[in-house]
Amino acid sequence: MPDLLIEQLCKSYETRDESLSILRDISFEMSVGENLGIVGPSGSGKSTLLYIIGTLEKPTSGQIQMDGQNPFSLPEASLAAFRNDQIGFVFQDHHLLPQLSAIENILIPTLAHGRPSSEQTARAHQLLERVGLTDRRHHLPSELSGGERQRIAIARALIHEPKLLLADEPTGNLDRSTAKSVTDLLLDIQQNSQPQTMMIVVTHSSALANRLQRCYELDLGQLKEQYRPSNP
Amino acid sequence: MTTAKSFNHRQYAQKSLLHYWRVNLAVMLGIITGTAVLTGALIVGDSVRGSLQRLTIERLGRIDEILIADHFFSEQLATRLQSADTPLPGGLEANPAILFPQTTLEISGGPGIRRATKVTLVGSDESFWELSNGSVRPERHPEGREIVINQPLADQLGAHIGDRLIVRLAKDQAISADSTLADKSDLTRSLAEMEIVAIVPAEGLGRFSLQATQVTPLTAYVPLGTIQQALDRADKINAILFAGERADRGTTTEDLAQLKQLIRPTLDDAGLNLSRVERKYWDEDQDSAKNAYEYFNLSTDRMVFSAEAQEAIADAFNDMTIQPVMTYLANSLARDGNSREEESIPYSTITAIDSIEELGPLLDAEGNQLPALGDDDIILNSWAANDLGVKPGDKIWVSYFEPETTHGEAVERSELFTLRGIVPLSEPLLPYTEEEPARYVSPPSTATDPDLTPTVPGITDQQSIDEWDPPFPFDYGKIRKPKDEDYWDAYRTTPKAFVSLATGQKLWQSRFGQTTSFRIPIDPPSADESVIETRLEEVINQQLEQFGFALLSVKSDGLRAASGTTPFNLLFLGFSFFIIASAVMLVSLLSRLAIEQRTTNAGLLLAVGLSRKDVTRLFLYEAFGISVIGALLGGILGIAYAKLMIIGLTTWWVQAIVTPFLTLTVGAGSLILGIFGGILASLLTIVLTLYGLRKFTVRQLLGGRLDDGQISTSARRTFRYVPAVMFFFAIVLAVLATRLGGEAQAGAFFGSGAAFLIGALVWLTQALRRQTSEGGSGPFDTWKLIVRNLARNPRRSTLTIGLMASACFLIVAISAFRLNPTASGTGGFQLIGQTDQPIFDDLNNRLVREDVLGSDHELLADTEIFAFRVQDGDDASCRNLYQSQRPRVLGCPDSFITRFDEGRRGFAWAATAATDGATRSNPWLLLQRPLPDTVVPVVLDKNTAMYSLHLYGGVGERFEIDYGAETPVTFEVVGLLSNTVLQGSLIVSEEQLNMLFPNVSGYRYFLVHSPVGQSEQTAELLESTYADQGWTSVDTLVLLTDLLAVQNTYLSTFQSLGGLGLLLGTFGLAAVQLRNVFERRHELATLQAIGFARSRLATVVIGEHLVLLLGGLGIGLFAALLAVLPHGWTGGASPPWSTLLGVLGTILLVGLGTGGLAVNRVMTQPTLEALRDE
Repeated sequence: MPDLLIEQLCKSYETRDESLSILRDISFEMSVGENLGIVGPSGSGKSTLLYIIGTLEKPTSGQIQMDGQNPFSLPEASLAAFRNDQIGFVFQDHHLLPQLSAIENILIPTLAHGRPSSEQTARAHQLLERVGLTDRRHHLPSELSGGERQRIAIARALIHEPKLLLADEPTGNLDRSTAKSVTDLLLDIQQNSQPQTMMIVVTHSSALANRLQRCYELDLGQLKEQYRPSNP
Repeated sequence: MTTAKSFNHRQYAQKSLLHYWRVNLAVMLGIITGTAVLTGALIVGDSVRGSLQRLTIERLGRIDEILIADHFFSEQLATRLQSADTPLPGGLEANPAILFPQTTLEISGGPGIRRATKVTLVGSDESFWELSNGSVRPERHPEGREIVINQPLADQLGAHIGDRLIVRLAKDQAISADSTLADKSDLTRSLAEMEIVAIVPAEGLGRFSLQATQVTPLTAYVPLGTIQQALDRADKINAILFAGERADRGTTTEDLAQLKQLIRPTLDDAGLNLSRVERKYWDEDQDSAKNAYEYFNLSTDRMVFSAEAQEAIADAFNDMTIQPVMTYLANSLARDGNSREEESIPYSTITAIDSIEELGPLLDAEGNQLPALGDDDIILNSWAANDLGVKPGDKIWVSYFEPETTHGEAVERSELFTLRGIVPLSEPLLPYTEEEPARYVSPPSTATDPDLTPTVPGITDQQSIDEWDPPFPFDYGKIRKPKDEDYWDAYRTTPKAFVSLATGQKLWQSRFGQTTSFRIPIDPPSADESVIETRLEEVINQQLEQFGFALLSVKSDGLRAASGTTPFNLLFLGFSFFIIASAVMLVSLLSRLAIEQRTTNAGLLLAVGLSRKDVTRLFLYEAFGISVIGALLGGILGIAYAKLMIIGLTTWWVQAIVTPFLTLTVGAGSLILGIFGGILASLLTIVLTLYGLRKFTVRQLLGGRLDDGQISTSARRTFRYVPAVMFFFAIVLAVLATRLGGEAQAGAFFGSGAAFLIGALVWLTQALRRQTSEGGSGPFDTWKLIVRNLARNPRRSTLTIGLMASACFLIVAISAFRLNPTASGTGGFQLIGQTDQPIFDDLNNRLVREDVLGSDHELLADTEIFAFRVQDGDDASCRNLYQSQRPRVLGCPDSFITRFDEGRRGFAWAATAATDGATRSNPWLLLQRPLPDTVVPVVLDKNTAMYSLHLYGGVGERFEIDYGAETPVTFEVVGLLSNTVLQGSLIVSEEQLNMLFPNVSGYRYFLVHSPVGQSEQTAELLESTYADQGWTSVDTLVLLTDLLAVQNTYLSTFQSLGGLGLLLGTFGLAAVQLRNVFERRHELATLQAIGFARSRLATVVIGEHLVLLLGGLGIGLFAALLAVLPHGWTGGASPPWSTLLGVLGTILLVGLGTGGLAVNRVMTQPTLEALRDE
């Protein structure tokens, strides 16, 4: 049984005049330690797929199973807890809260349980060190560069050691050099520090896509396997 | 700095609060404003209550209770209470006083005579000033013919220290002047040449009054001895002031109960006379004086026992035989068929009595009881029978005056009786002399008893008929000399005729009573009066009210009444509605803007696994912080707002409270309630805003775009016809309104305007949504750009226009309810006259006018004057802020009621209980229709019913008022007048008033209908003619304007504060515009980049602002004009156009100014930065 199973996932939106189909029969599976990329033209539904996998949107039909559990069968509060516990997000716009310092931004997911435990706080410091920003821990996002913000966002995504890390254009807003270092960091963490984590990356960047174990192309709502490395 | 370890929800909230301080401050300002207004309104209520309580404490000082009587009683009662071995409960002290609540003061010199009426006169000794709560007291208490007056009285009279005044007050009369046997001339007493020795400010006891009203009373103070001397009432008083130890509270219930037990007036204090009647004769055989008969005789100074007193006495002696007596005056006794005056007996007393074995008096010569008398039977004494030459079986005519008079006119009636027997009359050996009673040498018969007749001043106290000074029409020519003089000398007031008690009471009972004395057998013969006296004193003490006393809990009642007729806190909450609404709108708008600014925050929190509940909680922590700080500051600012309102009420809006008496009183309860209300309202508003986020997905939130332009197809279909329906309603209501009158018409026009407003707003919303969905039509130009921009966020745009329009509509349209004085409000009368002392003259009688007015009577040739009886009480009009406990009652005469027969126009009716043609045509007739269970039909003004007495049931509602009688009076509303000069009183028929308040005599309230242009002369004539009685006239139009001014001023207050709220709303509008510009900064920068000049962009932005501002004001104003103008054309409303235009103009200017902020932002926005931001 795969650790992540996506089966015949469909998503369509009702507009005033017609039904707009975004995703059609998307199916694939993943196991722990794997990573994959999803590429495709703008508006092809890449982010929608990512948000559905991340349980932020519901599919019109089809199902997702993580460790044999369908998260969409959970009530809303449990679904949030599931997301908090199992999934980490990295967004193109990093979405750091401007009022919080770097370390506090990393600890945001712990607020779901009231306050961070000492272990979580220690982990946040470790992650901060891991992303190379220990000396920036009390800095506000506005005092950080784009790359630094994205590193903090990566650290935030990993605070609960998620089973699934989802990254939506993580390097989309970065220059080439910074993008590379962020890519290195992501892959290093996923493959070395978090070997039990699966990672799905939506990207336009071929540099990033090429470094992933598998890559799919999403076109007209359908998924086509584009690239599979010879030595996984 | 927060350490990561201490990072939690609270820390998160704190950081967010500080980070987003600008928008949070804006939200907080909204909360501060809302809370300040809410708290301020509650504090205004506190201040009104507190000020009324302060006035009560000031005017009464330490005086808690007042024992006041409708007659004079011994000063000894106060002395005894004060010096009793047992101290009075609660540390009370008793102070003797004479109080006259209605006196007239006059001063001569300067420009003619100046007069002040309705002056409270206090006769007291110096200790009165010790009862004051403060230090106000004259430099010295007046002595002899000196007087102290308060400042308002001095101002009204233009009097100064050293001036001399005349005080006119009612003469004390034991017998009601409306009784045939009462003196109706010389009803006033004057204290002349009273020198003013001090003028005290109207503070403390310087504003002493029995009336609970915020209007400063006119009060004068004279030495107790002086007034006792002037009234020929040495050592007599009519009031005892009971003063407690503290001024700020009344007597406790327990202390009051104890006090009542201790008062114990004597029989003399209650005006009762208990005497042992012993009819003696000289027994020559035993050479000693013996009693032929004896009994205790109980009579009253009032000549007739009141029904209540009679009942109380009868109850007290129900274990004994007591014999009620009703003796009356027969003008003549004559044999039937003999019309010659000289053969009739003039001016005889006739006694109605049921003879009893022990006392007779109807015994034959052998001492046997005569048979009981039937209704038409009469017995004569032997002297009268001989004089008339009649024998049993003959018919006897008895003529007499009706016991009550109207306008002092005695009406004579006659009754035919059958002579059933003759009782012997015993001739004395020696007649009565000034010093000695008649002397008998044999036992006089029981019918030979002058004590069967009560004391009638001017008659029974005279030695001969020649000396009689009767108060009724008396023809000395009818006295037959020496025959009648001889009878007077030998028998004095011994009755010449007797009828049964039932017959006598039927013929001669009046509202004053039906028993002139009680005869009580002496059993055992050795018993003395003390047993009876003790029992009577017990009865009097238990039932003080039945014997003319009233123990008034003035302090407790005053403090209770200070709760006020109108809940000012609610009133000012209503007035401040728009400020509160604007503040709530601002809080809602700004918190929505604040949250929209942070939708990505919310999205991120949800994305990382916080539940919606967690996210809501995080935002609520912030909201709570903002709300608490805002509400606390708002609470403090509320005190300032309340102070501002009080300044308003004591200056610009003083007509609403009549006199500027208000001071700021801050109640902790109101402060806490206001602050909690502010917190609750702001939290609720923010929660509702947060709740609105639930419909957005995490992805939408992360994207930061919350599009509210969509509306479901079904909803669109539902609302499609709303504008047409509303416009239809507007037309129907407008047409309907033309057929209505008064406030119903105003309401219909208001409804018409409101329907138009709703229709216009819904139409606008639909039009904007059409722009969103269909893109609209027409060329693409600047106007199109403006419209499309407004349509981007249709909810925001219509909400803004809607709020502006609604506020503008209500502020202007409320003018429809402004009231103008109308003929139906004055009832067609030009003057209202009121007097301090009653007037008995029939002012519509030509002969009376000639007699009273002399040659001036011609002036009143075409004038009608309707005189009303008055039971004094509280002013229950909207001009008195105290809660009315006992409203004044007016008894309207039949002539007034029948004046409106055949549909003659008079006062406007709001509602009546009319069920037939006659009462529909003249609803006043309902006052004459009896109701079951002794319920009294009453007419009153609907404002008095609603606001003062809180009668919301309308016609048919029953209510009870305790006027101090044994049982409260139950009234039933049979008619409600609409905005008339009769506000403030209960109006019953004169007949009902006479029954309810038998001691009221004469007339003190007059409605005068005079020809056009003569009212001023009429007023002057009546004021000068009845100066002694303190006649004051008021122009009905002036009075009505004053009364309506209260409501009109409230409306002005609402409009002024509404304008302030609308002004606040324009800041909300500015916030919306700034947000719109901020959200579109990229587009605006793009437009600039493609060649749009900044000025062109500014035109677009200001255009959007103007559409919102002018659209809101325009739609609201148009709808309001629809509501007001037709009503104005029909004469029902006269909006204060200049004020309203001023308010709306200010709002327009401020609105344009705030729009300038948005334009400024556009003009100063750096294009490149905005584009880069993109």
